[in-house]
Amino acid sequence: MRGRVQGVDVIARDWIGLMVEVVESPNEYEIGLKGEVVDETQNTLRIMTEKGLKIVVKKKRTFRVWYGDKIMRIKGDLISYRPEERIKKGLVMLKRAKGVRI
Amino acid sequence: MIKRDKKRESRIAKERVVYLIKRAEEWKNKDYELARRYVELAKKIAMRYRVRVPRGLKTIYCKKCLYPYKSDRFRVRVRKGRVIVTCLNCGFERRIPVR
Amino acid sequence: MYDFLRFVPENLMDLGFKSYIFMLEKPGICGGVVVKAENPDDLRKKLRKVRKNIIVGVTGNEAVCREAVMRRKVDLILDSDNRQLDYATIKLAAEKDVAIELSLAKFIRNKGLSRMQLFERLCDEVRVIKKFDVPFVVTTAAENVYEMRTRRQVENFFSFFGCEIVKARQHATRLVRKYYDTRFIMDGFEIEAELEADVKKKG
Repeated sequence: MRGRVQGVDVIARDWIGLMVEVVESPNEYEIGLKGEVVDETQNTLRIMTEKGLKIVVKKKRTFRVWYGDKIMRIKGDLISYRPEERIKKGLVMLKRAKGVRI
Repeated sequence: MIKRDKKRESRIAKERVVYLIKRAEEWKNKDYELARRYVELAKKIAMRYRVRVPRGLKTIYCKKCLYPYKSDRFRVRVRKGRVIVTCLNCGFERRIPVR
Repeated sequence: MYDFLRFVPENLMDLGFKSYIFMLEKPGICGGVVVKAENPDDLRKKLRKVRKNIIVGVTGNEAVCREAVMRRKVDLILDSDNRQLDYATIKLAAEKDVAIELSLAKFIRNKGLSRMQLFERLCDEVRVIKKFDVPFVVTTAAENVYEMRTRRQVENFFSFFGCEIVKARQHATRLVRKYYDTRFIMDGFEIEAELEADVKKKG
């Protein structure tokens, strides 16, 4: 039986400063991009990779995120809101999903 | 309609505001534009969730153009019982009374 | 692919299912609860007693089903002989993320004209389900050993009526994972690993 899961509220938190890796993408050259998120807009993440600053669209991609003591896999569609709006939207989204307790 | 958890929202908002401004302070010598962006985001979050920017962090950036104060980019003078901080990016003067 | 049973058989046969979920009236060790209700008020009363963190299925007449779809605790609308779903209910189920069960057992139980009517009803339901992309599961819903069937039989039967079996499988796994997998949070959001174990790997 599942109970409370810590760190689920990444979708409501700051992504700036987190380590992120692109796992799935329709653009195969994007897969494997890894680095720290520097900036964020409604539709894109700016990732500082080893090869420089890359701009990755959020929608239709899957990201692997290092947050706290967990590694998570999140679809970009879930976070494609403005960063300041995501606190509200993310929490509501988590509340609406069944079987989740934050 | 699902009820919003406003307490939780404002708690997260507070943490984010503090985090972003501190990060702007760290980054202002590496990338000035980005540092401004962080302050802008922090301000947006603070306004949307009606969270106060902590007093200590308020004086880190210019209120008008949102650039963090960085050496050579601002001037501090004490005049007539106030501290006057001038931002040299936009020329905005902030007057802080000395108590 | 999971099967939803209404009883606990003495010895489980391998019928091709990955696992079984036991939907019982009294919540057991593993599985879900069935809430039987006469009318919407009755349903509300009974739902209050049900504890969280368990798959909740509802059976009843048309009005009960309509009420059930709007409840947050309900995950599944179970199939029964006299279940009727109207267009609006199925549409709402898609919005509220409530799965609809299509069962084989009721076709086995009935004969003749009543079975024909059931076929007709199934066709209607499937059409609406397809239209709005409603979550649904295909099951045997067996109440005794004699109603249990193999997975292939169930799937073939429903694919004949136009159900997309692949989707049904997805919905079933999703429903189960929601409650029994700590790694699964919601669609497109999973926990891959706890970091402590990972740090050791990296060295």
